[in-house]
Amino acid sequence: MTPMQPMQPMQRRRFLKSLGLAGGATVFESLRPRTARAAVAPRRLLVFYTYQGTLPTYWQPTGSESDFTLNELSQPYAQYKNDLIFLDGLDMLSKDLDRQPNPGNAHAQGQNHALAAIDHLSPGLAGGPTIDQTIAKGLNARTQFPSLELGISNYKTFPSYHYLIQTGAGQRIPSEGDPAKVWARMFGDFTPPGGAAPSGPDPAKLREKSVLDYVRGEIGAVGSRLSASDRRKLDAHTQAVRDLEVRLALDGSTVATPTMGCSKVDQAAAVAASNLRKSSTSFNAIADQQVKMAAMALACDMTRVLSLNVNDGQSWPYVAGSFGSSDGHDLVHKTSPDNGALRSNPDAVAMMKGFHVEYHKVFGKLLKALAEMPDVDGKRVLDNTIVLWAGEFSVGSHVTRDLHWMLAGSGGGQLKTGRYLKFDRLGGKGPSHSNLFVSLANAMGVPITTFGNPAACTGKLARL
Amino acid sequence: MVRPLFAVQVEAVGADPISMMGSAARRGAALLFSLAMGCSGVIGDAPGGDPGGSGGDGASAATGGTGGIAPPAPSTCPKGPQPGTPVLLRLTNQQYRNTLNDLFSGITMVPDAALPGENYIEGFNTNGGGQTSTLGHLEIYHSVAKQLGSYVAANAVATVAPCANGASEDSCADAFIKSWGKKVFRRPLAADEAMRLSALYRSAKASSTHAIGIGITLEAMLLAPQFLFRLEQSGMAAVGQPIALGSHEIASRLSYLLWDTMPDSTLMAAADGDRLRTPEGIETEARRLMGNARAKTVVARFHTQWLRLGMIDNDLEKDRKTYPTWAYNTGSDMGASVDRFVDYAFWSDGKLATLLTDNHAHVNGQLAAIYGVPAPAAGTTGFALVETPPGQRAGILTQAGIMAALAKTITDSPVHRGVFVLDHLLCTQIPDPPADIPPLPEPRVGEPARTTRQRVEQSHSNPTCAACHKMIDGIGFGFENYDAIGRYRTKENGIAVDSSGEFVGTDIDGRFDGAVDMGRKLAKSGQVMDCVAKQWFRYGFGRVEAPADACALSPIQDGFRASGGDMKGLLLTMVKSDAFRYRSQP
Repeated sequence: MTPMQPMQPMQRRRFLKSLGLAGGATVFESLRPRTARAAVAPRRLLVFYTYQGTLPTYWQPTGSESDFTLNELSQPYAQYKNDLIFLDGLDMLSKDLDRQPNPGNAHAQGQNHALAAIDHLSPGLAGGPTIDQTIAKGLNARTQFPSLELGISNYKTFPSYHYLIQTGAGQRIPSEGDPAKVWARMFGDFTPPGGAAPSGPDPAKLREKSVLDYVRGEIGAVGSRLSASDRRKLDAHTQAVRDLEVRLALDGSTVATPTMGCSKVDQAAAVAASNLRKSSTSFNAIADQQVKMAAMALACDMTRVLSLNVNDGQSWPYVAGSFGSSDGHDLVHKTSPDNGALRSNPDAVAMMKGFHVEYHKVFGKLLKALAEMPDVDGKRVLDNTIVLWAGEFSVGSHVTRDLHWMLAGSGGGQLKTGRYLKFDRLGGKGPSHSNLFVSLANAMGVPITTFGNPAACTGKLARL
Repeated sequence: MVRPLFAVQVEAVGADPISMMGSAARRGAALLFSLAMGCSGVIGDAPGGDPGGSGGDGASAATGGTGGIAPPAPSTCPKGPQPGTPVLLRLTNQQYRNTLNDLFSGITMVPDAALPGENYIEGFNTNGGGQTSTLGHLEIYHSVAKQLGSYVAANAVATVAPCANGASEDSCADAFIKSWGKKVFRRPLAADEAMRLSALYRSAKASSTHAIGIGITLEAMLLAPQFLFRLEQSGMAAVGQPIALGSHEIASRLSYLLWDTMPDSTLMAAADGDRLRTPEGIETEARRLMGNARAKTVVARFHTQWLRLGMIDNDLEKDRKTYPTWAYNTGSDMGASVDRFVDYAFWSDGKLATLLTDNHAHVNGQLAAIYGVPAPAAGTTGFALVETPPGQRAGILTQAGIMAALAKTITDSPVHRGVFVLDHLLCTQIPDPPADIPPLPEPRVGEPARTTRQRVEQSHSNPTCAACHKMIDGIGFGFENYDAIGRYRTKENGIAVDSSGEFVGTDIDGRFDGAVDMGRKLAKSGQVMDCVAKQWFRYGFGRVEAPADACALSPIQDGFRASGGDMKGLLLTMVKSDAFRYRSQP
């Protein structure tokens, strides 16, 4: 069991509030404020995920591995050039090896493999966990949240077919695209309306624990008479109950190493952005809030594994019918540099570039938020984080080879940053993206040697 | 959203082997099977479907996997009850809210339960394969349960746990556990269950008060798996053998299927009297439930999910230069109109033929112009039910909202329309085209005007494309009389449209002339009836049919065919079926 870490007073209050125990004076006596003790910062992983590939002409840096110049799309985060590692030319080899490389929808299949790197279970679902969940499980950090899944989209609700993260085969975790709900989850206070204040904090906490113990007992009582697949479903439920116990700090094992900058994000702004959903201008407002809360989740050490699932923003400058295209997705195809009919039309490509710029601006805001947050070890939160920018395609034509991915942050010095890694593509094939996942897990302190489909993975990613 | 901007309806494209073949194949139409396989084979799928075993998006997570093999013909079904392979279901978000509202009706408002989003599998959020519990779920379940427990402790102990003068608190608590336990678990508690709750109450009370003990016990009930999941565990049999469900389990199934909530007191009384173990007893209660407005909500939700009607809303955007009358709310008005049509078709005579051929529409001023009918009289609020001009419309498929949703921003889309009918009406799923297919060329400047059909025909003349597109476009072209906003037209770009079409690889193969003729053919198709029954099966039982479900499903399909497509009768057939009345011993 991991020993309890000291917490900030704010952190402590939040726990108390989540229990309806605001004002309790002595319950967390052990949770004294962090003083000037020499601190080790936790390592963190943040997956930034976007759709539709990119325009390599404007994405690829020029120059050598260590001496390179950023391209146009990277300008929004040019100041963090030395924190970046461009990964140019990985392949989703696991997708090529899938027993059925194109079942159903190409977007879904790319999405299945992008983070899980294993045969699909069914057309919309991967046959195993995504890398972030493998890392979260390996870390077993016992932070409030084992992981957080945030989405950016201005659909009324984040589209479920773009839920990205899986804890296991077919077990998909929703991405939360509503900033107000994210706020409530991270900062909300669960004090019951009109309820009497509990007489004392300690017994109330014990009572909550007894409720969850009861629930676990009931799951055990009913679980013995189930089919294997139904039992797996209850197992996931049991895990969630266990996670709730940590979330509510009921068993004393909850860990938090918050930074000095950890503070409550403004609720009104989150709610305002939430209320904007579905309007043509909401993408950036929602992105701002989600980025802010993602950064704060790391800064407060609420979790060490987080994903930002960046669905399309309708704010991008596509005008219906532009260049004879029937819709935005059509224009993505038509401007794809390999076979798009409009790939040589500068105006059409410029319009598409405008769309990608929106993604890169969000990425820039994310890096800024992480870089401007001092970590517990005096460095920047970004320094102790690994940000992975991944996606389901390389370019707009559904290609899952020659990916244009990126890392930012060194994970506490585990990765050498400020590099442009252009991988050799011998025989038209680049290194497997699942090798990258092995390297990332290792950098995070999770000692795996293979990930996903073992036939597609040869170990760590060379050169990284 | 059918125009897949950057969003693609993955849930709609699951290439599950059974649905790919349709029941007609099972009934011996070998030709259909070979055609469908031929189509998918062309683009590189393994013949026989998905060897890893999937019954659609996520289904195998719940069913333990299904093979890509043909289900047996009904004649090969063994004797005895055939329940198929049930999966454990959790309450849907809606069912959770409805159930709490019913439990606390008259006691308190139930707090907003902002549960995480749901997975839609083959269109349905009822599918057990998508119901993975996460911390996000437990946080909300806990928060809601705690708030309700605390509220009751502070304000409503006397209501939920009335205590006669002189009775001990412990005995009152035990009476509460018995009465509320039965409500919350939807059946009488087993003795050991009551004991564990009683122990929890006593330990909570020991550190606080009787009231808090009651609140904590209530909170615990609302977090128990017996509440959140629809566990069915009465009876015992040898592994794999059928077990008849108990009356309380049937009551729960009936209520969640037809009302999306817990059993009401009448249904619970029928269960208490053990009156739900016969088809007759079930039918009596099912008819009563279907006579209530709550059933209308469920029927509407089924159709919304089955036919993806959520796509007809404000997200539906059209090119304003080509369609200057299109407004921000046109899409949502069209959606509301289609919802009303479904309601009208199901609750009038309830015939599938009405759903597929009736020529009425619900119009407001804006939709009246699209349908070419007079606007409702001034002062009319909402929608008026009108007959559309003769020969122009046939049922749900030609509703303006569906036609507009299955179209691009400027032109209509025969491909979307054809795939829609194949997927949802014929249960014949065509896989997506392979990667790297160049998109349909757009009209070039100066090129002679053509119709959408002419452009599509030219593009799909390539033999590689033709294998599937013969099936898709043959249906899609039948809708050429409807433009991208669902208006009826006889000309496109000044050229007469050709709306002749053809069914290929179905049980109604052959040519037809336009959507009205097509609707008539669809309404007579056994394959369509089987498909509709299958959709209700998926919705109602929360799973995509596995091969082992063939003998559970086919009697329901047979019943629907025998009734001539009676949609209300289908629900009654379903609740009286083996699949509904039995489970198999795991």
